[in-house]
Amino acid sequence: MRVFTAALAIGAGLIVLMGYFYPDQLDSLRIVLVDWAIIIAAMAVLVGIFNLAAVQMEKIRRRQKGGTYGALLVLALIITFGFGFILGPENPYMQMTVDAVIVPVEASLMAILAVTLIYASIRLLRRRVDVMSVVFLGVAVIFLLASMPTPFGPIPGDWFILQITGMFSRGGARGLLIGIALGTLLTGLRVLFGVDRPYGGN
Amino acid sequence: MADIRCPKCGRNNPDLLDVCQFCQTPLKTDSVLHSGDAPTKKNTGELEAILPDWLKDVRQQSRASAEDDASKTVKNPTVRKNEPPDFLAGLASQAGNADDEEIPDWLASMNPSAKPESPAAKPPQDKPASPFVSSPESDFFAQFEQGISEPASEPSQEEVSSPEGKIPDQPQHSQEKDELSEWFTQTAEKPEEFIELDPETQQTERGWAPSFDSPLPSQPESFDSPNFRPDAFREDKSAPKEKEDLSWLHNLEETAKQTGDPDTPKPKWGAGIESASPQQSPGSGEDLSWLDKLSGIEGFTEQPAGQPAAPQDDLNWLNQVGGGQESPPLDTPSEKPSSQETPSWLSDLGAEPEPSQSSDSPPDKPITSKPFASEDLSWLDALDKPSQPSQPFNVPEKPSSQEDLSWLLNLGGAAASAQDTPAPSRDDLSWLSGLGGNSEPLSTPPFAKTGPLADENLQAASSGGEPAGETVPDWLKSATEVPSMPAPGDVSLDWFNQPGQPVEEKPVPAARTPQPPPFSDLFSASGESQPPSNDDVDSLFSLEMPEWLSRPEHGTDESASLQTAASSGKDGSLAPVDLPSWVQAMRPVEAVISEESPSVEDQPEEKEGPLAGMRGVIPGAPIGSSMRPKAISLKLQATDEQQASAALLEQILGSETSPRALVTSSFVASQQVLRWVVTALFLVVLGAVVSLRTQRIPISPNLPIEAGNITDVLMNVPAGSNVLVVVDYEPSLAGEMEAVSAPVLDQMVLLSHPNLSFLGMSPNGSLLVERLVTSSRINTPAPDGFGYQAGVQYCNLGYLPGGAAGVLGFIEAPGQIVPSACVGGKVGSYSNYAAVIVITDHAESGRVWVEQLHALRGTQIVPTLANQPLIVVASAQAAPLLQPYVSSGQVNGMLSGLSGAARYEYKNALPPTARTYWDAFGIGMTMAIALIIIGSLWNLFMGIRARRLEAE
Repeated sequence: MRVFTAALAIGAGLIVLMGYFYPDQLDSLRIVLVDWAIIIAAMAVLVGIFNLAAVQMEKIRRRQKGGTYGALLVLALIITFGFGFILGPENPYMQMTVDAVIVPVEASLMAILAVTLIYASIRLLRRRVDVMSVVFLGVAVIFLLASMPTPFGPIPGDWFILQITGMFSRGGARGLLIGIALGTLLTGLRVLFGVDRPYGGN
Repeated sequence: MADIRCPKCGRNNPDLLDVCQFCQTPLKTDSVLHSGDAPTKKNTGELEAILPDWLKDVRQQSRASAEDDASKTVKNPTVRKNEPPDFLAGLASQAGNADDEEIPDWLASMNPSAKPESPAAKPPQDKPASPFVSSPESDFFAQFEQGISEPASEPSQEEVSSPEGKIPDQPQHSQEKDELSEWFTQTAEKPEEFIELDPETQQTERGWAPSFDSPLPSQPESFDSPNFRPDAFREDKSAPKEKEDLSWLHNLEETAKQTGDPDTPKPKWGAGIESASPQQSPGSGEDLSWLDKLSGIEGFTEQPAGQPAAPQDDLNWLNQVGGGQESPPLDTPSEKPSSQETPSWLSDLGAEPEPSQSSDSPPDKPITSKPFASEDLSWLDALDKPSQPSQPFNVPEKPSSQEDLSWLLNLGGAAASAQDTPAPSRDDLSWLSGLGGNSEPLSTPPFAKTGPLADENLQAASSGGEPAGETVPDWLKSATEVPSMPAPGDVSLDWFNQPGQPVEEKPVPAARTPQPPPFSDLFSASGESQPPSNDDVDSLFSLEMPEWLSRPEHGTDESASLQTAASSGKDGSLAPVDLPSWVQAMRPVEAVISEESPSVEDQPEEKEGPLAGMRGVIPGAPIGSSMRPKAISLKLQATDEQQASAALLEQILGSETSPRALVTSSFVASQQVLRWVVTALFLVVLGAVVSLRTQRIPISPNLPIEAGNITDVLMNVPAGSNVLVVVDYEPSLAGEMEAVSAPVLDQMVLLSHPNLSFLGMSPNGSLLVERLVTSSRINTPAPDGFGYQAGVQYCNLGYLPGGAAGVLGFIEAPGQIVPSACVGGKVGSYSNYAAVIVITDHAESGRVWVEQLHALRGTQIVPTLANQPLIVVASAQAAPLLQPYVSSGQVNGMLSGLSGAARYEYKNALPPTARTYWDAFGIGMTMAIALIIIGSLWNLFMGIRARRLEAE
């Protein structure tokens, strides 16, 4: 079974890859395989939602700690899924659900994150006093000053600051992107070669 | 193979499995055990089927062996093993004479369970007092004649050791003859026969008995054969008599004849035997001198041939051994040996001394043996009477004229008592009385020439013309000497007190002369303090207890006296010997004994039991006395360092399991306060600013380059064309993204009035599209909005799954991947889109679209992708990572963050969507920067101060 799954994964990957080099011969097959992947990905979302509900239901059945929240989660899931399936996303009630529940909740979490980051910045020098901590805080403050709107108007030289700092940020970003690209390439090659089997064969 | 259906998934599984191979559900609920369940009792017999084969075999073997043992037990009844060995059982005639079924009295008295087979023939006799007293009516050796006459009638298998061996009745012989010799003669004429014994019987029970067994019918089984049964020695008249192998007897006879010395005096025990069998044919001429050599002792000689009564004389020793019991002389013709008559030697052993009888016996006639009668066992009574004098042996009445068995006189009596005894008396059992008498008048060393027996021996020897001293065989001389140790049962330890005196020189104590108690010299110090309860104790015991035994333990005095007496060697009984060092080391320490052993007076007096009235018999050691072994400490001998290391290790191990107490100080409280303060500050300030909708903070007109290109791109979008808007952000950043994307969409709508197709890259994408359209007032009716209608001017394509694969698939065949019902959004190919706007809050989504689109731009799949602009609207956190794509030209324009949107609106004079949040954004950023700066400086100062304090 392990060999069959590995062979299947490798074959599909090679077809898609070769389809770029031989579009006339393998393009249609490639498109088919890509379509199948899209469908499987869509089903995976449903499976994930089902697994989430099952776990929470088991927690409720065993009366574990947090079972109440699990029950609330499952209830909200069922209601939202039913409304969306029945009413549709354009329905005003659905819009009200999004506007009243989903967006405020997540926005609040993001606000807590902002406060936590500020608090951590304040306590940084209390825990660790070194050059890097000071440099980190200095750069962060400078960027915030350069980008923030001041009541007194933009600070003088903000453009210059942004250009200088942008140069370093862009360079760093490129490096990250190259690294990401190379990592993606190696991961694909490992799957094609059968070294990595994320599909459970190893 | 039967399948089991899984109760959960419903699939079939082999019955060998306990758990479903698909869903891991237990198939057999019975086999599932849960904790806390009560155990179910099962019959172990039902489990035998599941036992392994090897265990079954073992069990089967054990059962088979048990069955075999049981069958053997049924066939061969177990032999009584608790009974003492009956050495005389073999002597009984095993020939199984049907007529001679009478059991002699002496034997019957020994065996109470013996049934007299011929009560009529049994002479009316009282219970013999001594088994060693021969009755005049019965002759011990008559049974041998019976055995000789009818050897074949007896079964071979007869229990040898059974005291219940029935001695067949022997006809009374009118003539004194050598029964034994006659028996031997008869057996010698018979062919060799095998005497079989039961191998299951104990060796001890057989002992020497087989050698004296009467001729038994032989059986095929040998002695050591597994089929040997002790029942062969029992009188089984029903069993056919078998032949016996008596060749050994002949061999002994021949040997005796060859080496026998007629002049050598024979022990009286032999004479007793002879005297007990007067029925033996005098003219048999059988030489029974071999009997003298039964013990292999040189000296036994054959009887003189000219003495017809020699065989009988050889047996007179038995009579003499009986101790002078009144027994008819063996040579008396009137006497008929019978099975009931006790041998003379046996009678002599226990008979009371009868000096009159013994003296009247002619010297040339063997000593008669008296049957075992009640009066013959008076010697036993004499034992109970400590004051009564006793004779060591029952001196036969008539000492043998042929043999000198004077050595037997020394067996148990004191010399003084034997000499003083008037005429050998069979009742002289003084030697026996000396065995246990505390104040026994007689206590003679064993094997001492004492008592009438010795006198008889002397007389017989003298009558026979043989000096007493010369008649004693050499092999018996050693026996006649005073042994170093007392005989078993002989507690008369006078000999112990007189070690230097030879036995011969030792005067025979008087028969009734009170002998000093044994060890009297040793305990002379405490002898006077003998408690009066000793007499009572003595009366309870049949034997006179020696002083040393009856007297309780004493303390130092006794031990000291013991040592003193031993060292001084009072009475010269024992010369002090220098003990070797190792013996001395084994001796108890006097100090310990003296200190710990309590005195007699301190001991409590016994109030009940056989020791009533006595003290100190059983030393009462207090509980916890020093006699107990010292308790050995089980603690390890560890040094201080080792103990410290062990304690440290124990502490370490204990700290691993023990929870550490968290130090809760004010530091934790200050952190929580700071968080709440910061939160409250932001909520209050920013809430007020937002609610007031202030727009006091100015916006910088400087617009980044990438943001400036958006206007050019949008201006190049054809009017009424299709524009794809990809929405890929989370609801948490919906506020920022809506504020940032609104100026771009408004400008595009204002400039081109395109048909917008919104495509979501997350499951919440569809919902966020509607919120975006609402926030940007696209679907707001005019004049407040642009009045776009869903499905007409804009279409929500829904969720595009698959990530990069989905993008690739949508690009290659959008109608196939996202079949939308929107008429307006439905396009034939991706190239129909005039522009693509990607609104994302993370760089991954933008990177995917950029990479997928760029990969198809150069190909022939979508040739128009090369001229298709791509606009990215990113959040402030994703913009740096997408900046390279902008710099490379893969992205035509990018608007990042609220600041960029505010400037773009300000630059393009667009509806102030981003401007609304600009003041709150500014004030919040200012507050954050201020808090960070102030707090960092404060903490830096406090940290430095704390370190200085720690350093100090």
